[in-house]
Amino acid sequence: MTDELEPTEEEIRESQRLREALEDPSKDSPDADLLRAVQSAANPKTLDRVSLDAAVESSLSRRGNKPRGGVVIRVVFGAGALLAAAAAIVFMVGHEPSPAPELARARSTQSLFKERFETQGGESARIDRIAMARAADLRDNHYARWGVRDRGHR
Amino acid sequence: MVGRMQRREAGDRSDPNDLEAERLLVTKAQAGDRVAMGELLRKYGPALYSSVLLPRLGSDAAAKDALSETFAKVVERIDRFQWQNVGFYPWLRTVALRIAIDALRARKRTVLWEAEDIQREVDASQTTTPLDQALQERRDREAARTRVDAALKKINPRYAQAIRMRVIEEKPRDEVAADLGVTPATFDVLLHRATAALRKALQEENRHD
Repeated sequence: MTDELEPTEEEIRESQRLREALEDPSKDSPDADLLRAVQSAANPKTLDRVSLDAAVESSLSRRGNKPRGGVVIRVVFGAGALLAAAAAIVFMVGHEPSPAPELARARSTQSLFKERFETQGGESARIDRIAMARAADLRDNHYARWGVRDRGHR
Repeated sequence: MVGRMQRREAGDRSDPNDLEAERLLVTKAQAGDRVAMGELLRKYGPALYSSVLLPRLGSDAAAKDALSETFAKVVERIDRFQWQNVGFYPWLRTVALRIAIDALRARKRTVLWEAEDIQREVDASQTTTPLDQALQERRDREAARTRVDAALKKINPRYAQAIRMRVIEEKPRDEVAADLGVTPATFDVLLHRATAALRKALQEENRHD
């Protein structure tokens, strides 16, 4: 019962893996994820300010891009439009473009798998690991584009 | 009468002046005022994250993604919202719950909630009197703790104790091992077995639902 039975080699390996994953959240472990889900339900952490601001700004900027209904005003192009275009050219020539943020690019998943694959099984766990890593990349890219990436990032 | 009792239970945070101010903010947001919309989202985002999304989705990354999706949906559909005298939060919460349902259907790992559980919560929110934010938040947190307790009751008490001390109370590994009267290495095995037992209990429960 519980801890009275002698552990198998596999149990010792898995318990070691769980311990490491609990100490280092970047390590993939379905067991650690389940325990974190328990912790999140029992003692949910508060949302940090950077993430809140990023989520708010993202949703508001999406709204800005959405075509909105309303009255369509037809503009007759003329001297005013030409002046505006000229001003835009002067502005663009006179200003250095701001440097583009460094974004995560498409790349091999090899670096995510340092251990040897078992001959059978584990496909779902590997797909999960890739999906989690790429979801984190996507989120980081969003944050970088919004200019709210953590200072210590990468 | 019921509303007054709820306000009292919630610490009377549904002050009529606050509600009127919020109603004005919502009206402005519906008219396209980004500042008003931002103010509403900033006000309720932390509660949506820590009381609604994080407990149900079980991971920080999933909860943050779901919060972004919730905000996007709210901005897109603000014109459909009809003011109720308990404020904006109940509607936000329902939107967040629907996003959580989609996220749970897409996930592959075991967490404490199933999409069907949350669907039942959404259905209930359509048929019961909406609660104000403070009271709803408190109920959501209590429901989450009750769910954890119920899950831990399904496994061996020693396993439950190991999870409670190490994960919920966040005590150091060595301290928990000493309290349980085992070596740290044996505690690791115990926690691994406890996690496996919990997963099995949750999966069996979901099969029976």
